[in-house]
Amino acid sequence: MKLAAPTLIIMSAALLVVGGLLAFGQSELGAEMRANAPRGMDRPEGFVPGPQGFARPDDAPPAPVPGAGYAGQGEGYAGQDEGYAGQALADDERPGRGAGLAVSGERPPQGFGRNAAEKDDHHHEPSLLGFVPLGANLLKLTLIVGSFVLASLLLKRWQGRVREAL
Amino acid sequence: MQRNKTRLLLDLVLLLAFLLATAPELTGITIHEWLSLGLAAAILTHLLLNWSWILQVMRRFFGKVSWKARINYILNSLLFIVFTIIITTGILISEAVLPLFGLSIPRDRLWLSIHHTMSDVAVLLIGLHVALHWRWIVNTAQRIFGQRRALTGAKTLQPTSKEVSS
Repeated sequence: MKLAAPTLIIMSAALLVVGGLLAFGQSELGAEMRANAPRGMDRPEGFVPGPQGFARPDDAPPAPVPGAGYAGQGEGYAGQDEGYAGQALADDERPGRGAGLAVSGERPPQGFGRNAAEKDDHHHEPSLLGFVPLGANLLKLTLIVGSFVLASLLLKRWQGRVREAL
Repeated sequence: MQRNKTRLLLDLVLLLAFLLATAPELTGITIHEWLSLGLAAAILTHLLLNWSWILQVMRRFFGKVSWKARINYILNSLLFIVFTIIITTGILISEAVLPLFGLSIPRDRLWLSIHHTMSDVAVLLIGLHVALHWRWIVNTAQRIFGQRRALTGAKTLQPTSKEVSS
């Protein structure tokens, strides 16, 4: 019973922070941050997201110059039988979201592309490489604590000397 | 003394758990998520154990209280906010705990980005927190281990005194 009141106060304070965070997520600043947040991680080698990822065969006609022709005049790619877009997909397949095809011609793993990061499998499996960030954080902590302790020792010694001098 | 021992032990476990939680590459995402939830519970316990100090400083924040306690209070409030944000965003991007309960939230890059940024901030704040409490940590450890050493010294002396009396 003695613990109930402090627990409730702490939880209420935490709820306030959560509410503020969720409100931030809905705000314009949140939307801007969302748009600028780093996109999909661990892109496969050779994978180019977006339209530049479309492989162009060597004998492909030169890319249309902007303003040189109109769609349907035979100069563009859209609608051409031999084009790159619109390649047939199996019924149960769907293209990577906004991703296009990899330069290698292979389909990118699901979740990569403009709206990627559905999954980032890079840290699903434990790895000894994880000792690197652990060590880095331990080093940071040691540095902070060490410099503080050293600074306080020096300050104390300096204060002692000043006192002696006075 | 017993209370201080419990506090020191819990704080040590908290620090180790925090360091481990900052390296999901080492533990894997599942352990990272469960460990972080455990850390949240441990932080709540840590706050409850130090509740009297929190109340004392809060009541006298603008009155008669040392600058060290005031700075400590501000730093601890920041830590609380940062940890609440880390835990909330962690739940929002959860890949192991939430699906286990049949819940799934569409992954949002904003939360992922905030989660990473706040984790870096937390390392810095934890370093400052430990630095500001360094004297208490050293004193308590010395008292605990000093007492234990004195006790073991007394135990080794006991048979000798019996021998003398017999």
